[in-house]
Amino acid sequence: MALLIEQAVNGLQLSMLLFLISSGLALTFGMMQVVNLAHGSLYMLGAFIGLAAHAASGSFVLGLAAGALATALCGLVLEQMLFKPLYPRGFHAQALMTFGLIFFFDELVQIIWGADIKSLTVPAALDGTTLIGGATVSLYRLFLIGCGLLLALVLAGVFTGTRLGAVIRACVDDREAAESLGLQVPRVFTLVFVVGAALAGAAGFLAVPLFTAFTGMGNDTLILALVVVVLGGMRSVLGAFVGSLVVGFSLSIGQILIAGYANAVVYVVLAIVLLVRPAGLIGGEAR
Amino acid sequence: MARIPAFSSRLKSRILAAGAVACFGIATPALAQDIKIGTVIGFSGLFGAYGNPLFETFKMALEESGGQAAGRKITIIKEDDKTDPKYAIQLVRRYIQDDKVDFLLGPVYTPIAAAIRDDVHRGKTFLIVPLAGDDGITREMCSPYIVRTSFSSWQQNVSLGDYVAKNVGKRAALVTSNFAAAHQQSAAFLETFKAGGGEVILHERPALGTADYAAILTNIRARQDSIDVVYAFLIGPPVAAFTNQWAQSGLREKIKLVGVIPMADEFWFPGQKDNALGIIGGGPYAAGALDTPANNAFVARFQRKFNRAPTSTEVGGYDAGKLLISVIEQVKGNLKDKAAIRRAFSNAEINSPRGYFKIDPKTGNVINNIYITRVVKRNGVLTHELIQTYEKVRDPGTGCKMSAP
Repeated sequence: MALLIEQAVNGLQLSMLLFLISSGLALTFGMMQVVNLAHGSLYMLGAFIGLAAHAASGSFVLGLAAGALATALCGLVLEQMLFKPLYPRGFHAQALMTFGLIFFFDELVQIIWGADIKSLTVPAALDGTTLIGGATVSLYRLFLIGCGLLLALVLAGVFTGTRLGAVIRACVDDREAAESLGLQVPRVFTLVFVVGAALAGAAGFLAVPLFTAFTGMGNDTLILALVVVVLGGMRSVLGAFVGSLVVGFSLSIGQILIAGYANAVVYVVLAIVLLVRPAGLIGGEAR
Repeated sequence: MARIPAFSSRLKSRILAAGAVACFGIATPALAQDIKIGTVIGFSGLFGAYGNPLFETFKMALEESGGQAAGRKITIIKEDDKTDPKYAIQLVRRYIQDDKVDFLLGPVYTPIAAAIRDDVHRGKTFLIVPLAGDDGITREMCSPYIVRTSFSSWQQNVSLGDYVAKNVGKRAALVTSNFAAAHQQSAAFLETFKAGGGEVILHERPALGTADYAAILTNIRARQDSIDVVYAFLIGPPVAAFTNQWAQSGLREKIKLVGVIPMADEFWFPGQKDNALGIIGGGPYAAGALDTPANNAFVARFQRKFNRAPTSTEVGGYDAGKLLISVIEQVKGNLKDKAAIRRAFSNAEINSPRGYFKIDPKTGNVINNIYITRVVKRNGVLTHELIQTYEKVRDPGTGCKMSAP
């Protein structure tokens, strides 16, 4: 029984970490329909800048804040300078541009911070393990579950309960109608992009105690995030949440059953889901 | 018509004179012609992390002799093999046929060694392998033209398997990446581990690059009462990730983590930090474990240049350089007699930082000590302490049918 609980917790913490990472992509790729392959690079930047801030201040919270803010700023600059001219040019142009950004940021990180792998010791308050129903669970992983659930609640609350959320949904659902109603669609999109970038950066920093930070760390993560967003359904954050759970548990169960091919399980699940529901699990009508 | 014979005879003598001078002029540089080394090393991507440092220490060894041997200057043609066997084959052919190099240095990535082996053998060009650890290179694929200064996977692990079975625990769980080199390394470990009375309780083979080991750690935890030791062999950033997650899981108190020394050495310490403490390792070299004049000097020089202590990867490159110098000096710069060069490799006595060093005439692989180490902290810096030495470990070279060149 304890084993089952522990594996369930493993699946849940991986899902929540994936949600933290892919929520930003759900916002930009899913809702704004903007191809941002540099999402993994923002994840990496958040980790490195957060690490630098932590090294300077000794504070985990400051590191997290710095990582998120720095990537938010970076997202703002990228959106205004590079994405804006390419919105009307469609997927291919955006994909090419952001693909180039991946190389740019990989090299930049290596130039600034070197090729060494960096890590972060878990903050003392979150160090150690605890017992849940007889199962030993790492405190830091519990913390990540908490963060993911909190984020899900906040995003759900904003999108369903606030005017801003309604405005964003309106701009995403029908851009022309929103504009004709006087809504500042470009500003809204910039805001969504910046928030998406900040979430990616925060996830990058939070993942460091588990996965370390190194050049190119965002590339595998990007692929998983894309799978999550596509599998869950592109139009909503709820889709990303569901997608994260499915991918997270697929990976976890895959690791237990056929460890050498755990990733294959994810893609098999993706294929099956898309065959049955081409727009994703919570996709609604494909547009 | 009459003028031509007179003109041509004067011209002829002038041409002859000019020719004589020219021949003399060409002959002198030919004696002092540079010795050319071609690199078959990946300098970019994941394996660039190994390729770059070992190339630097290779050059360091050459610089110590003034960049020359037996009066001939050594020049290096530095090309990136892009960690791609297809590209590496083209590169080696270019080196042998067009650039006419005298020696080849590489590879890091094992599949490339297998890919270029035949071209090297047929091209009768000596290849010094500074890292790639696949057993086959000095077993069934052996050639009089291939020598290796790093280790064979077998060498690294057999001593460790024996030590662990006798001193650490007899019930092991293995966590090894799902690819060929990892299978080889763990098989070598198990050979002596089982011979010493050990048994395998669990063997997980996560995919290359797996970042999250929670499920595997949970499996180990489920059987923690029947597991004494965990043997891990992973590649790349996951080495640090696994070590950190291992420490976070709380299993450290009861179960010991062991692996080849490169699983927890100066390369990974920044990523592992104190989570590396107590890890038991086996391998041909650990900077902090060997208190000898040769090693201390090497470590000091390396530290000044690169701000950290060297690892076995860098010693492989350094010894490749020293071996090359020794061989050229032994044959007094005459590279025409291949048999003599081969004998020079086997006779070379270099003062290696790792201690005993000899190229096995039977296989071309290095014979050296294997050290069992533990990660400790000295003066606030992570390093290794020596627990035991297995002397002059020699790869059996099964399947090597070599004839003299």
